[in-house]
Amino acid sequence: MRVQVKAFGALTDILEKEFYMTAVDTEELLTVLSHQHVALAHRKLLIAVNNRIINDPVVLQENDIVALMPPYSGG
Amino acid sequence: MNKEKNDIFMQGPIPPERIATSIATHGRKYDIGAHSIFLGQIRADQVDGKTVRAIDYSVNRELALSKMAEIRQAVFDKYPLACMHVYHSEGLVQVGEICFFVFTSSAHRRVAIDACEELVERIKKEMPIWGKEIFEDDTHQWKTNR
Repeated sequence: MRVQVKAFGALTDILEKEFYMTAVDTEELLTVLSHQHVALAHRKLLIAVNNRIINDPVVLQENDIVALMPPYSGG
Repeated sequence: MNKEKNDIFMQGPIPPERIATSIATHGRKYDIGAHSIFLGQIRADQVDGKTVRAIDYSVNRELALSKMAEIRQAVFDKYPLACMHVYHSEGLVQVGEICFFVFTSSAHRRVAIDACEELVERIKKEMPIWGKEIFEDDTHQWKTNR
């Protein structure tokens, strides 16, 4: 499925802020990105699909929005 | 920028006048007996001989606003507050400027103080906000919360 990926925080030093890619599920999406960007591998990050934080891999639908977020540092 | 009901984000620093105005506005609410205010200010941290000159804040806006609505509701449910106001900067804030403003009001002090503290801690921990620390030589590192 073709999804929109949005990168936040320190991940924007590694990835484009917004881009499209194709993946069956969030696991595949992360695997592909980690292969393309070594700096991404083993990084602690939170994932939200359509603005909902996920804890386990989910199957992606066409046009889903996947947010990749490092630990928060507001305040 | 459209100002949604729960939008807490302010472009750039929070002006001290804004804080004064907020205090003044509450003077007409006679059920209030206590205010508690937290202000976050940009600190000139030293890292490997370099000095932070500003923090550039970025946010996941949609996720942040729904999380803020959840936190706001939880804190109102837990504490008998008369008022609650939260502002956080987005974009560039220079050293010495205010980036975070939490303001709670209640009949008696304990409620306002406890609610204010809980809001500050929850927002720092749960809100999708990131701070990019900009050094004087324009290099950067990403802030991590303790």
